[in-house]
Amino acid sequence: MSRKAHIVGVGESQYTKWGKIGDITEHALAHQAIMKAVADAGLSVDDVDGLASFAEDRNEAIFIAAELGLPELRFGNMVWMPGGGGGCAAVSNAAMAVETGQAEVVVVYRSLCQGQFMRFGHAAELMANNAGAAAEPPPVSFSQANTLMLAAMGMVMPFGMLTGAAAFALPFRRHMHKYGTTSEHLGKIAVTFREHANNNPRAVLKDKPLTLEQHQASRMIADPFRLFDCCMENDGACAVVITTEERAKDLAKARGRTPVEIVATVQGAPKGYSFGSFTNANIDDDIYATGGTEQMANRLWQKADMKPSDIDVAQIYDHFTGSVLMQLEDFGFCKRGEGGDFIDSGALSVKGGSLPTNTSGGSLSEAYMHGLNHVLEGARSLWGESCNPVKDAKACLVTSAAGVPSSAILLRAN
Amino acid sequence: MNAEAKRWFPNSMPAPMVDHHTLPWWQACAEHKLTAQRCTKCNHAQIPPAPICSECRGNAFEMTELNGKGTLYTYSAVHQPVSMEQTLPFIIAVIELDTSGTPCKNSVRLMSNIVDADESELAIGKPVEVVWETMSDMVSLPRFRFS
Repeated sequence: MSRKAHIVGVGESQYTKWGKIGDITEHALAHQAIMKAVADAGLSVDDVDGLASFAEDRNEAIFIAAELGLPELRFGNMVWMPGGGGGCAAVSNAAMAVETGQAEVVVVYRSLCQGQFMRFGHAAELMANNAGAAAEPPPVSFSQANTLMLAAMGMVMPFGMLTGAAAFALPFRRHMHKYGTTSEHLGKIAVTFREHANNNPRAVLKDKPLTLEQHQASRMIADPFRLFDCCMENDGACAVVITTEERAKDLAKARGRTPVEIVATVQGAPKGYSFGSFTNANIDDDIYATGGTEQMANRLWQKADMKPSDIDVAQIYDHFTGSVLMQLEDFGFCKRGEGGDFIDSGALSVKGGSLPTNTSGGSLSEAYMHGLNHVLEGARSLWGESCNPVKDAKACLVTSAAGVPSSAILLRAN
Repeated sequence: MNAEAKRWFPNSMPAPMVDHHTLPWWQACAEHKLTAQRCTKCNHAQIPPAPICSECRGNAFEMTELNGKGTLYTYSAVHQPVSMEQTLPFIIAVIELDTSGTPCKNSVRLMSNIVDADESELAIGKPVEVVWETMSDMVSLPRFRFS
């Protein structure tokens, strides 16, 4: 019987505002999510023989495996697509391990305690911490970049480029210039995802309704992105269990679920992309005002022998509203430049939209787990277990961060 | 006050982190020379400098001085501080640099800042020119203003 990779279990810890989880360490939080996901699958932790993560996860697989007492670690993997670009790639790598027989049950996990480490959005605090307490700071000098990432960042940080908001505002500003896209389009994305989160008991912003007026009145972070265009910063952990079709069929039957197949996966970046709009001012003009994921999207549709109109529900990485809009174009749900009209049509809403998107609330309103929570919601939406169910949903697209090297997966209920 | 001595950003902004390949670019900046790394085989211009030409895979280069002119390619007025001491908002900008008058076969873009401008003046495509901010004897940064 087939070894085709399937998702069989999902689980998460409590999600909170950043810094609210201080009584448990980040790796202990990872254990919670992993054990919940394994139990959700109907498996034992003793069945797990592979671990995968991404985004320079501080909680290395070898230590997680040792702490959890896995009988044997047969696959431990970290993705090189940076940050939130790697979530679906981690699932992809887990699927490869399962399909090539390197492992039987691989758990993909992501744990983030931003209060215990650093907040991605707060560069000034980070710089102040690094500067130490010297009363008389030394004259501005060079320091040596010890990694390629630091060498790339070292070219742009002196100009103040340190945060995602600024990095992804640059391509979206150009999208506005080329196509007349507006802040109101972005506001409608934020409001729709918040409506979804308002039905989701796991969502950090469950009880915080949002109106377009509130969005338009919110303070500017990096023009054109306002506060409510930016994802949250959170503490929490989540995990997804991946195994073979053979095992998945039995496990799904026992849970009364439809098996969810990982139909196709892609990861990568366009030519010369490096760290995308974060560090690269020289992205091809044709690609600059996009999510950078169009080539990859085309490969995904081709590999799966599917097309955008086959998708019933989507989980689109939403670090910033503008990146959602550009990815919708990249993946062909609307033509290039028509993302604003697509948003205006109400497409993203679970209430009658043509492409219900981020049914959990996404990173803007459920939790910022570097987009792995989008994979959990993808499986739930096909099991009929979403808080915002899409009737008879059979196919779900899940994407990872746009504007940097990225990844995506197609899920199908069989 | 000497125009060259004008300051827009505090010294507590992040300092350049350099490697073997990018150091010559920053050293040229210290002399207030805006340069691009030009492949001597195919004349492709690239910033940041790298060990290999991404077009022809050649590995012989010259640092070519540019005329300091360009156009605004995209921008963001950033309201979150990078240094606790800086004036907000500040403008991060991508500048399309003019390489005319050099052997370079392409224009090349640089991440930088727009200074001495109100947010209302910002518009993609407007011409800009370099203005140098001397941070120390070792470090000068090329910023841009509307020309």
